[in-house]
Amino acid sequence: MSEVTHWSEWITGACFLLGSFLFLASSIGLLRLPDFYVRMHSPTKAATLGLMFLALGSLVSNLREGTAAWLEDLLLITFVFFTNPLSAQMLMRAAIASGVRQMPGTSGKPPSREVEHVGKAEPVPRSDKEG
Amino acid sequence: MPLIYQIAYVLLALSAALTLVRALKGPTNFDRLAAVEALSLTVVGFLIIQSVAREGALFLDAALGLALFSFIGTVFLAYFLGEGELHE
Repeated sequence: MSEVTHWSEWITGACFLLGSFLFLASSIGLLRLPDFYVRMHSPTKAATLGLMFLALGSLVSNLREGTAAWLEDLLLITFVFFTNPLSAQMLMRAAIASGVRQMPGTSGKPPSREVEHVGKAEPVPRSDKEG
Repeated sequence: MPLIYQIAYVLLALSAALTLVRALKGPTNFDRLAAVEALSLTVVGFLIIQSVAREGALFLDAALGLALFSFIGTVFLAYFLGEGELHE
């Protein structure tokens, strides 16, 4: 590029570097953490934040160019922010339901049915749907 | 500016390689599914950087579609792997 770089391009570049660094950190965590349940938080949090930073850099670049594609970046940020933890939650629930083993030092258990229904209200009879 | 794009490409490629190692050697199928989802998110990030570097808005459409289908595929595969016990 021969022309002088606009200041917003440095914001775009910083967002891209930060986002790709977060992706690298998430993949290192996915490779090195000991357990499935421990391992699952690294692609959930770090990769979500990394993808949001990448889309934020693209949003700044599209705002500077004046095109309407920044709406698509905003849509991508919102979509990833809502759906990526949701899919991780579904995956963790499926892993609990099919009995993936924890690492030995884990304190606490995955929520079983007795734990979920302890509360202040009177116990709801659930005899109609067993199994 | 192209130097920053290249650095980001290299970081994303390293991330995809490490994620692929986890997808290949994961002990359970849930590890593999999580790794494949992280890999598709890496591809989404790659497409976003491509859309800025090449100034083509079609890459953003592809990124949005890939994120959508990755979410749907992960939810359905989690449903099948958990044998339908997701909602208690």
